[in-house]
Amino acid sequence: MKISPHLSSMCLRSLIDSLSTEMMVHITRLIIPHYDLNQRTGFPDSIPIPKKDAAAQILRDLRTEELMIPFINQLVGIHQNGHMGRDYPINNIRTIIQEMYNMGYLYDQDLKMFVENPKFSRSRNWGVLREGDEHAFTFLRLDIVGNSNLVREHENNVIQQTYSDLRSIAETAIERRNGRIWNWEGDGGLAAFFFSNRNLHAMLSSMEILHELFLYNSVRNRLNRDVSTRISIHAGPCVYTTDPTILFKNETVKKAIEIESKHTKPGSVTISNTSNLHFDEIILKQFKPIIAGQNLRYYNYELRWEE
Amino acid sequence: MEIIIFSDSKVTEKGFAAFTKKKGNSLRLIPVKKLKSELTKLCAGSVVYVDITSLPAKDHTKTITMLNSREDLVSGLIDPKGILIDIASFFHKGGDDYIGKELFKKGITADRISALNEFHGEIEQSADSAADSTIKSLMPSGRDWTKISQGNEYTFCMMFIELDRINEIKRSQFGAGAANPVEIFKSYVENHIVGANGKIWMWMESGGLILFPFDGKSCDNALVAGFRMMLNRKIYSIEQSIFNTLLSFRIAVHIGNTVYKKRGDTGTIVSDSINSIFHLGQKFAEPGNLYLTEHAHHFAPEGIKPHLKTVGQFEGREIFRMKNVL
Repeated sequence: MKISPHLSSMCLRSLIDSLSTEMMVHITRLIIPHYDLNQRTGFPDSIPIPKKDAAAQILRDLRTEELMIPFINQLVGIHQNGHMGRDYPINNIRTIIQEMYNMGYLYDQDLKMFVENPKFSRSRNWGVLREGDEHAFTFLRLDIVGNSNLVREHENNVIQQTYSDLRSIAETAIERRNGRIWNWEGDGGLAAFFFSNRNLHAMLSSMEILHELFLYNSVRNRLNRDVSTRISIHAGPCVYTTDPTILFKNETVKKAIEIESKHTKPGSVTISNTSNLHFDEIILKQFKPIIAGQNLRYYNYELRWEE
Repeated sequence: MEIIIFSDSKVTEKGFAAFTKKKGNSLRLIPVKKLKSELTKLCAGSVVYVDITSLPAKDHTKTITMLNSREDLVSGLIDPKGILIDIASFFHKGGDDYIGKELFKKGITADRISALNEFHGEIEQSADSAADSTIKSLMPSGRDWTKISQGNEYTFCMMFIELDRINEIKRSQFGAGAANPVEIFKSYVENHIVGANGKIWMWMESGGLILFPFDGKSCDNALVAGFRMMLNRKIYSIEQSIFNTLLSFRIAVHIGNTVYKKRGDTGTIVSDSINSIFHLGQKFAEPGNLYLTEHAHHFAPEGIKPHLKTVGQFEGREIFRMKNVL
């Protein structure tokens, strides 16, 4: 991400006005471990580095390594909560946050980090996740039931259109709640949710997909049978990657796939025990507990109509 | 005459040998898996049978509902093994004929099919008389609003919608500085109708009347919007926690005529259809339910008809209700 010159100069001013050189280095080391300011500036250890030179060098290095956003995350966190029991008010922090907003980023109080503003852009990594970083995600796995038969029984253009409609239904429901589709094959996909309400958002997305699919089958479906999906939701840690081979080796993702394929009836959603915590009573009432093995309880949602 | 049979059994044709023997008669056998798609293509008045033994027992109810949703067909079941227990329920749901084990063995004659056609004709005549009077006086307004001008009378698909228990909601949550639940509900309605070409035409305290242009063929836009609002109210209730409970509202849908005037100028409009839909929504409708009159039902997409059930008469019209999602 490119940092505007205006934001750089604001950060420079704030560092000089608010922190000692030692504290600047300390914060930088939270982002770049073993950061050596003397080595970077060329100042010998015996000579104190002026704050202006220190701040300029640090910001230059952070920009080069594209680590400005994590650094600004730290500045906001330190401003709000202090550090090691001491307050560190950062001058102009509001202006910095406003400038980040102008650049398309919002500060998420729960995650304590800037993330992409979905009104302006929707990138796979929410604009901030870096390859190799581990975070907690909630995954929504979707699979079209009987894909091979559907493909065999229908003309290619009809099936292509149907699958494209289905993807559009899923995408709308998922992106409405700031989720991202990380992988989509012909017969289904994997979406990730990252923010504080990620479990709830994944679950509401899955319910919306089922509802929309019902309406699609009732009015628009051109196939000779209903399009049906199995959806699972599971939460856990995962290393952010753009490589699908690595992604599908992750244990959380593997579990989501297993729940979808082994514990989910066609036309329903199964939620694992790691992703159903702290739900509102209204929503819990919509789900039926299912026993999925010894001491393992999942929850299932489907459209159940009165007779 | 042609009979259409949905069956996967090779012996089905044998039961109709006597019928096909007669000159001019024929049989079209279609695999059961194509029932849903083929049913929509059949002409009104077609004689259609479904071989119930070609279906798993769990699909019987669904199939019967689907078959009977095409009220303009002459529908029957073939049951060569005599597996259907409650035969009468098929007739209660609008079926016309049942061919059981013994009759199938004996064989179906051309005379029997003729008698069936006559019987169905008489039933249809009496059942359709009320709907016919409205349907014959249609003045379709088109698929969208482009050809609708003020002061002229048109047929619209009309939707009444109203928030339930408004006094309770107001008492418990609508304090100073709090978001107005009616405004939130109204924006929920607007979000759902805008893509379906609907317009809020009248809005009172906690609900109003929405008009959808009607092309004389289908009211799928309005009904899909109505179904969507009903289905998604759980989701919305959670996302908009202001309601603190499950968002509840009533919907009534009707096809009817009115002079069109712009919103705000509707005070002098006299319309039997508007009166009817308000009566249906305010006097008949139960909280949390979607209803439609027989006229709207006539133009409903076939795919949603299995999810509607008849709930009696109101002001001389048969009323259908969207089945509850449990």
